Amino acid sequence: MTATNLEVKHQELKKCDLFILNGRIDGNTAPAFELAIRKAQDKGHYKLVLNMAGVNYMSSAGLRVLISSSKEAKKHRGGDIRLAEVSQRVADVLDLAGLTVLFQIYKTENEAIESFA
Amino acid sequence: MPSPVRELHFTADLANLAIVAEFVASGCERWRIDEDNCYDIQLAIDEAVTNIIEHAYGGGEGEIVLRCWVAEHHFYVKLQDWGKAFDPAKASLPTTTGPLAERKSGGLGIYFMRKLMDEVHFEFTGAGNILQMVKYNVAP
Repeated sequence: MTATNLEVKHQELKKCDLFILNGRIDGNTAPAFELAIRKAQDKGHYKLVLNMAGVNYMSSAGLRVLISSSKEAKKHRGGDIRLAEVSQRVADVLDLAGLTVLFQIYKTENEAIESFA
Repeated sequence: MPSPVRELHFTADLANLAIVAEFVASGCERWRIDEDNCYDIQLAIDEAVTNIIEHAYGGGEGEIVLRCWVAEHHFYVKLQDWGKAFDPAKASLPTTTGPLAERKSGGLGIYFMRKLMDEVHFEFTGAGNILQMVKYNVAP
């Protein structure tokens, strides 16, 4: 059974904000994903780590959120969106859109968090 | 000998994308299509359905019919709607190279469909759109 929803957990850490995503990111769930990131950015938090281990599916709707929120993050000093524990499915989609080179992708959540000075 | 056609009728609601994905997955399972090809087909159909909901119906109400079948090892998809004419030539092209600031995400859906499937045909019937896609040599 495919997961039909997206769960977004948000934690404010010392070095950055961590988002743990679980489920499907498609045209239906991407707005919730975008809203969660925008809420953090509206509070001035631009150093974000997205743990994608639980994302079993992502369409271009998810990529649009990654592109727009990453552009917003990079407008601010030290701001960036870094990805961790990306599944092969998500890696393939990033690759298809030519986005792999634009995101720092870490094997573990901890490495991604520690990458922010 | 072609397989029987599997058909799904659904409303133009993004909440139905997960139902469409389940429908495609069950067809792939029945036709013994491997997971990687199934994922590609699911993604291409998801992008096509999202385009229909957002562009052909402009977020309004409407019906969509999805038909899938297998013939001569190929996977066939036919999507029908009764919305506004969709001209793929007028859709914006995504940028898939260069720095982030220059990336435009519009048009990624059609780009994905063309990358993931071997044939993609759009047709406006006067009453709506028919989209046909084929992925070659995926069924045993």
